[in-house]
Amino acid sequence: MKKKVNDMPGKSYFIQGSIKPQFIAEQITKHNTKYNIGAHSIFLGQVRADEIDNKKVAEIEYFTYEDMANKEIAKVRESAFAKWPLSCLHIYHSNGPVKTGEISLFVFVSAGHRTECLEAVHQIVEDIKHKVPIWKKEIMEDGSAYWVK
Amino acid sequence: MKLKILFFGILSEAAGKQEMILNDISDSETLQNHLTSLIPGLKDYTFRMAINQEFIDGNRTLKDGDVVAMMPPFAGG
Repeated sequence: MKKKVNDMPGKSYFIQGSIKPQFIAEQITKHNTKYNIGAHSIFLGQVRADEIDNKKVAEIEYFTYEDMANKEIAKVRESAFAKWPLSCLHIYHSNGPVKTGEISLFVFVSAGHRTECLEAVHQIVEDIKHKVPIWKKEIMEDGSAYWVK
Repeated sequence: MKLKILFFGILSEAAGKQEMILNDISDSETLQNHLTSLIPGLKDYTFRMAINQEFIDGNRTLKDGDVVAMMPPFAGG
Protein backbone atom coordinates (compact mmCIF):
# COMPACT_ATOMS: atom_id res chain seq x y z
CA MET A 1 0.00 0.00 0.00
CA LYS A 2 1.29 3.42 -0.91
CA LYS A 3 1.92 5.56 2.12
CA LYS A 4 0.71 9.12 1.97
CA VAL A 5 3.54 11.61 2.12
CA ASN A 6 2.70 14.51 4.36
CA ASP A 7 4.79 17.32 3.00
CA MET A 8 3.42 20.55 4.29
CA PRO A 9 3.59 23.52 1.94
CA GLY A 10 6.30 25.90 3.07
CA LYS A 11 8.26 23.18 4.82
CA SER A 12 12.03 23.61 4.53
CA TYR A 13 14.51 20.76 4.61
CA PHE A 14 17.35 23.22 5.18
CA ILE A 15 19.11 24.08 8.42
CA GLN A 16 21.28 27.19 8.66
CA GLY A 17 24.86 26.06 9.40
CA SER A 18 25.84 22.59 10.58
CA ILE A 19 23.48 19.82 11.73
CA LYS A 20 24.23 19.24 15.39
CA PRO A 21 24.78 15.69 16.75
CA GLN A 22 22.36 16.57 19.56
CA PHE A 23 19.61 17.25 16.99
CA ILE A 24 20.31 13.88 15.34
CA ALA A 25 20.09 12.13 18.72
CA GLU A 26 16.76 13.86 19.42
CA GLN A 27 15.39 12.71 16.06
CA ILE A 28 16.33 9.11 16.86
CA THR A 29 14.75 9.36 20.30
CA LYS A 30 11.46 10.59 18.78
CA HIS A 31 11.06 7.20 17.08
CA ASN A 32 11.17 5.04 20.22
CA THR A 33 7.39 4.84 20.49
CA LYS A 34 6.86 3.78 16.86
CA TYR A 35 6.70 0.03 17.39
CA ASN A 36 6.19 -0.92 13.73
CA ILE A 37 9.76 0.15 13.02
CA GLY A 38 12.42 -2.58 13.03
CA ALA A 39 15.25 -0.78 11.26
CA HIS A 40 16.70 2.68 10.79
CA SER A 41 19.30 3.68 8.22
CA ILE A 42 21.08 6.94 8.84
CA PHE A 43 23.40 8.69 6.43
CA LEU A 44 25.48 11.61 7.65
CA GLY A 45 27.51 13.75 5.28
CA GLN A 46 30.51 15.36 6.98
CA VAL A 47 32.71 18.18 5.70
CA ARG A 48 36.13 16.79 4.79
CA ALA A 49 39.41 18.70 5.08
CA ASP A 50 40.48 18.17 1.47
CA GLU A 51 43.80 19.62 0.38
CA ILE A 52 44.06 21.79 -2.75
CA ASP A 53 47.39 23.36 -3.79
CA ASN A 54 48.83 22.56 -0.34
CA LYS A 55 45.98 24.40 1.36
CA LYS A 56 43.39 22.71 3.54
CA VAL A 57 39.63 23.22 3.46
CA ALA A 58 38.49 25.04 6.61
CA GLU A 59 34.77 25.06 5.82
CA ILE A 60 32.23 24.58 3.08
CA GLU A 61 29.66 27.21 2.30
CA TYR A 62 26.43 25.78 0.90
CA PHE A 63 24.11 27.69 -1.41
CA THR A 64 20.70 26.60 -2.59
CA TYR A 65 17.72 27.70 -4.65
CA GLU A 66 15.70 26.96 -1.58
CA ASP A 67 12.12 27.04 -2.88
CA MET A 68 12.96 24.76 -5.79
CA ALA A 69 15.25 22.54 -3.67
CA ASN A 70 12.44 21.98 -1.17
CA LYS A 71 10.16 20.87 -4.01
CA GLU A 72 12.84 18.55 -5.41
CA ILE A 73 13.48 16.99 -1.99
CA ALA A 74 9.73 16.47 -1.61
CA LYS A 75 9.82 14.60 -4.96
CA VAL A 76 12.76 12.47 -3.74
CA ARG A 77 10.68 11.58 -0.67
CA GLU A 78 7.61 10.77 -2.75
CA SER A 79 9.54 8.46 -5.05
CA ALA A 80 11.16 6.67 -2.07
CA PHE A 81 7.76 6.09 -0.42
CA ALA A 82 6.41 4.82 -3.74
CA LYS A 83 9.29 2.35 -4.13
CA TRP A 84 9.80 0.97 -0.59
CA PRO A 85 7.46 0.32 2.35
CA LEU A 86 9.01 2.97 4.59
CA SER A 87 7.60 4.08 7.93
CA CYS A 88 9.40 7.44 8.12
CA LEU A 89 11.85 9.46 6.11
CA HIS A 90 13.53 12.63 7.32
CA ILE A 91 15.97 14.71 5.30
CA TYR A 92 17.96 17.73 6.48
CA HIS A 93 20.62 19.62 4.52
CA SER A 94 22.78 22.52 5.61
CA ASN A 95 22.68 25.95 4.07
CA GLY A 96 25.50 28.47 4.64
CA PRO A 97 28.87 27.75 6.23
CA VAL A 98 29.77 24.37 7.80
CA LYS A 99 33.23 23.75 9.29
CA THR A 100 35.34 20.67 8.57
CA GLY A 101 34.31 17.76 10.76
CA GLU A 102 30.74 19.04 11.06
CA ILE A 103 27.63 17.41 9.59
CA SER A 104 25.95 18.92 6.52
CA LEU A 105 23.52 16.19 5.44
CA PHE A 106 21.28 13.96 7.56
CA VAL A 107 19.09 11.32 5.94
CA PHE A 108 17.07 9.17 8.33
CA VAL A 109 15.09 6.26 6.91
CA SER A 110 12.92 3.97 9.04
CA ALA A 111 11.08 0.82 8.03
CA GLY A 112 9.91 -2.53 9.29
CA HIS A 113 13.01 -4.32 8.03
CA ARG A 114 16.62 -3.64 7.12
CA THR A 115 16.54 -4.45 3.39
CA GLU A 116 14.23 -1.62 2.33
CA CYS A 117 15.96 0.76 4.74
CA LEU A 118 19.43 0.12 3.35
CA GLU A 119 18.34 0.23 -0.29
CA ALA A 120 16.33 3.41 0.22
CA VAL A 121 19.01 5.39 2.05
CA HIS A 122 21.49 4.73 -0.75
CA GLN A 123 19.09 5.89 -3.47
CA ILE A 124 17.91 8.92 -1.51
CA VAL A 125 21.46 10.18 -0.94
CA GLU A 126 22.25 9.75 -4.66
CA ASP A 127 19.05 11.60 -5.61
CA ILE A 128 19.87 14.47 -3.25
CA LYS A 129 23.29 14.83 -4.84
CA HIS A 130 22.04 14.74 -8.44
CA LYS A 131 18.54 16.24 -8.43
CA VAL A 132 18.50 18.99 -5.82
CA PRO A 133 19.79 22.50 -6.64
CA ILE A 134 22.51 22.86 -4.04
CA TRP A 135 26.02 24.21 -4.63
CA LYS A 136 29.07 24.49 -2.43
CA LYS A 137 32.20 26.51 -2.13
CA GLU A 138 35.29 25.23 -0.33
CA ILE A 139 36.74 27.95 1.87
CA MET A 140 40.42 27.34 2.53
CA GLU A 141 42.37 28.11 5.71
CA ASP A 142 43.91 31.19 4.05
CA GLY A 143 40.49 32.56 3.06
CA SER A 144 40.66 31.66 -0.64
CA ALA A 145 37.62 29.84 -2.04
CA TYR A 146 36.75 27.39 -4.83
CA TRP A 147 33.37 26.36 -6.21
CA VAL A 148 33.02 22.58 -6.08
CA LYS A 149 32.27 21.18 -9.53
CA MET B 1 6.92 41.33 -20.96
CA LYS B 2 9.37 41.01 -18.12
CA LEU B 3 11.57 38.05 -17.10
CA LYS B 4 13.57 37.57 -13.94
CA ILE B 5 16.83 35.66 -14.40
CA LEU B 6 18.55 34.04 -11.41
CA PHE B 7 22.21 32.94 -11.43
CA PHE B 8 23.41 30.26 -9.04
CA GLY B 9 26.76 28.86 -7.92
CA ILE B 10 29.74 29.69 -10.09
CA LEU B 11 27.41 31.29 -12.67
CA SER B 12 26.67 34.12 -10.24
CA GLU B 13 30.38 34.91 -10.27
CA ALA B 14 30.60 34.62 -14.06
CA ALA B 15 27.62 36.99 -14.35
CA GLY B 16 28.83 39.26 -11.55
CA LYS B 17 25.30 39.26 -10.13
CA GLN B 18 22.68 36.96 -8.69
CA GLU B 19 19.76 38.23 -10.69
CA MET B 20 18.73 40.49 -13.53
CA ILE B 21 15.58 41.57 -15.35
CA LEU B 22 15.23 41.18 -19.11
CA ASN B 23 12.36 42.24 -21.33
CA ASP B 24 10.69 40.86 -24.43
CA ILE B 25 12.39 37.51 -24.98
CA SER B 26 10.02 34.95 -26.42
CA ASP B 27 11.65 31.59 -25.66
CA SER B 28 14.37 29.89 -23.63
CA GLU B 29 16.72 29.34 -26.57
CA THR B 30 16.65 33.03 -27.49
CA LEU B 31 17.20 33.85 -23.82
CA GLN B 32 20.21 31.54 -23.64
CA ASN B 33 21.76 33.14 -26.74
CA HIS B 34 21.05 36.59 -25.37
CA LEU B 35 22.63 35.74 -22.01
CA THR B 36 25.77 34.25 -23.54
CA SER B 37 26.26 37.38 -25.65
CA LEU B 38 25.66 39.65 -22.62
CA ILE B 39 27.91 37.49 -20.41
CA PRO B 40 30.53 35.80 -22.61
CA GLY B 41 31.95 33.90 -19.58
CA LEU B 42 28.78 31.75 -19.44
CA LYS B 43 30.00 29.78 -22.47
CA ASP B 44 32.72 28.21 -20.32
CA TYR B 45 30.21 26.49 -18.05
CA THR B 46 27.74 23.67 -18.21
CA PHE B 47 24.32 24.66 -16.91
CA ARG B 48 20.68 23.68 -16.77
CA MET B 49 17.75 26.03 -16.89
CA ALA B 50 14.56 25.96 -14.85
CA ILE B 51 11.46 28.04 -15.50
CA ASN B 52 9.38 28.80 -12.42
CA GLN B 53 11.29 26.08 -10.52
CA GLU B 54 10.74 23.33 -13.12
CA PHE B 55 13.67 21.93 -15.12
CA ILE B 56 13.31 22.35 -18.86
CA ASP B 57 14.55 20.22 -21.74
CA GLY B 58 14.59 21.76 -25.20
CA ASN B 59 13.11 25.11 -26.13
CA ARG B 60 10.22 26.62 -24.16
CA THR B 61 8.02 29.64 -24.70
CA LEU B 62 8.43 32.34 -22.07
CA LYS B 63 5.70 34.56 -20.70
CA ASP B 64 5.49 37.71 -18.64
CA GLY B 65 6.61 37.20 -15.04
CA ASP B 66 8.53 33.96 -15.63
CA VAL B 67 11.49 33.32 -13.35
CA VAL B 68 14.35 31.59 -15.13
CA ALA B 69 17.10 29.94 -13.07
CA MET B 70 20.55 29.37 -14.53
CA MET B 71 22.05 26.46 -12.62
CA PRO B 72 25.50 24.85 -12.86
CA PRO B 73 25.85 21.12 -11.95
CA PHE B 74 24.63 20.40 -8.43
CA ALA B 75 27.01 19.65 -5.57
CA GLY B 76 24.90 18.87 -2.54
CA GLY B 77 25.86 16.58 0.32
